[in-house]
Amino acid sequence: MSREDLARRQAELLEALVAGGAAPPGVDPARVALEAEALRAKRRRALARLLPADVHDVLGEDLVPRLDAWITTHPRRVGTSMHADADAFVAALRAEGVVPPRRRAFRGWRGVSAWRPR
Amino acid sequence: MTAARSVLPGGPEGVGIGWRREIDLTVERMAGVDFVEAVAEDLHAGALPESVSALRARGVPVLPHAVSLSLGGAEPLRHDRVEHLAAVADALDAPLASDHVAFVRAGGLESGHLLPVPRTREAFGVLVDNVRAAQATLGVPLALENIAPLLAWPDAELSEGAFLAELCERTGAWLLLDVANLHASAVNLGQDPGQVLDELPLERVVYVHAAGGVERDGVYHDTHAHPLTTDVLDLFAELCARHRPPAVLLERDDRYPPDDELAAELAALRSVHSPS
Repeated sequence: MSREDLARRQAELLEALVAGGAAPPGVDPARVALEAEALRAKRRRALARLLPADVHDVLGEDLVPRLDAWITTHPRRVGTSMHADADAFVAALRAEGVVPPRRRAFRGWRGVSAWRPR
Repeated sequence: MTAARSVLPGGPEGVGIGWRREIDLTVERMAGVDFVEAVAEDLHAGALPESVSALRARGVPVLPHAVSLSLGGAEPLRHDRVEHLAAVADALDAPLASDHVAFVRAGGLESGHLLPVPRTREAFGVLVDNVRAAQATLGVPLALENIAPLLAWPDAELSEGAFLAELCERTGAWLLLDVANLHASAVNLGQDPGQVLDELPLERVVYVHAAGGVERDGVYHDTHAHPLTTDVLDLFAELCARHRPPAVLLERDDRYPPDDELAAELAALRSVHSPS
């Protein structure tokens, strides 16, 4: 296996985990599904932390299904920070009229962390 | 009995806790915190959070811990991220910096979490190249951490212990051994943690991570949002019995408990690490 092969295999696994691709050969599809859910849950929590208060207020219990729909249809591209991800999600909600337009929300002096180590 | 001296000059000793913005004051004021660790991606070298600066002013070591270098990734290393880690380590005057044996991006996508590297010779070579490139930029020693896997690649040519041991040997990197992640590998992949400990160069362990998690349907989830489990504490005790590491650090990232519960977990780690 070369660096290119490894790159392809890693891309294939990540595609399966965050973009609905098939599990790579030899990797247990049940575990891929489990890891995919773990990644979704992590991004859901990270996004929820970054959303302006009015989005939480307006969506209420609808927030989780809305986040899941966003996460499933918008795999995070390299170079897209969690802040940019949250901004894009909010912009989409406002564009759809789900959440009324509003000025940019205050998020703390330097923003809160979206990343957590394991 | 006193804790083992750090093998790394100026390395951490004793018991520490992960500094997080949500519990910054708790960490700053908690008694018996010998050192802390902060996620490098959360910090800006030019504008450290006030409580981090307060800890540094008191002489408490603050170790930067990175999550986004993707050292096990086949794509070219992101030098900007290594440089950020180097700058943060420098701002903190830290004795070392760390990241994981993992990849977090591939094919233009970000995983948002640490994913396992195939334990093949080829993947090992890529990892060694990336680690060496990172070391060339960092002004401090690099420690590498084992991750908590939920899945495994096929065709492993090396055990996890042998893989990490050879990685340390080839690169001179130190080990940040996470006993909760070792437990996750045992439950989720059927790996024998005793065998991993047998194979690891325990004298290269600069500190240990411990964290809480939860087991559901036969799968261990390393949540950092639940209390420390007996299994993880037992594994830490097993490690200490073989070769006592200089330091241990509690990671808690979510569902923060009352301060006294965090203090009790630190005390539990201390009693295993340095029994009186």
